[in-house]
Amino acid sequence: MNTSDREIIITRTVKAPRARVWQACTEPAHIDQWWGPNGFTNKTLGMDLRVGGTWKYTMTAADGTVFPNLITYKEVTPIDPLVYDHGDWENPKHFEASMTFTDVEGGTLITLHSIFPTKEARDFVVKEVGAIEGGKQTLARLEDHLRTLINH
Amino acid sequence: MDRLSLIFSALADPTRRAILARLSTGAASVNEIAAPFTMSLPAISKHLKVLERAQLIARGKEAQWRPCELKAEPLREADAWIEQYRQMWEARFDRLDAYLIELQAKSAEGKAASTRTTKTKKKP
Repeated sequence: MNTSDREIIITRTVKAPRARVWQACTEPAHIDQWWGPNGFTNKTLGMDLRVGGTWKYTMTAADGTVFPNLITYKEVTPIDPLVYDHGDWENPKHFEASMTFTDVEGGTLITLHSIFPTKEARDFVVKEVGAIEGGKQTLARLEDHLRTLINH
Repeated sequence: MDRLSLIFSALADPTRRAILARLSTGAASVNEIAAPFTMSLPAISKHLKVLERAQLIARGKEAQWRPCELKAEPLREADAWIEQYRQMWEARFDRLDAYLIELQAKSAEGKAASTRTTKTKKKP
């Protein structure tokens, strides 16, 4: 299926060789360190990196709210595009996405393709983004609290 | 279908995007819109109906000359959603970038340590 008409493309060049970027995206010990969001704890419960395999993880906000996530791999060939369905435990396919890794001068270009979202996918992201905003507020509150403690 | 889904699916077609691009230069009649395309007038009308349902265009009231006009508001809605999604990924890539730099520094340290023990360290 040609989905190029319905894609949202986000790119980023990172200063690391392609093999290392692949590793950071496909190994629990690494991906838990950055998948985030900021202020959240990402925890892998299981990762089975093969076609049809899943990555099951939780994102825990600073206030303790847990967001269960599930990624189902559809294409896994080091170091080619990583294609997957992203969803949660009840609804495993909210949207389809792929990450492509390309050698460029000084690092690796990551291209994230996401297909124009369905309503469910948008709600899913809004929930996550809402959680991110909530997390920021929690951190801001904590900062305020610490400041009060220091000042008194 | 909800409003934003209507907008996204209306945008997911090259002919319809070309029509919107044409209308961004000003209102036009169906005949004017159809002129650059090889498809039939009814086919173009079908595309216009999809765009109209998504409220991306509005049709004039005059019976003979019903110019189509671009409506920017739904585009802004779609754009706002994409922007939110983009920001989420930009933040995620920021963290990945920082983490990779940290990894690189650690492995450089490791290499430096092993080089020292084998006495092959080059002078800077």
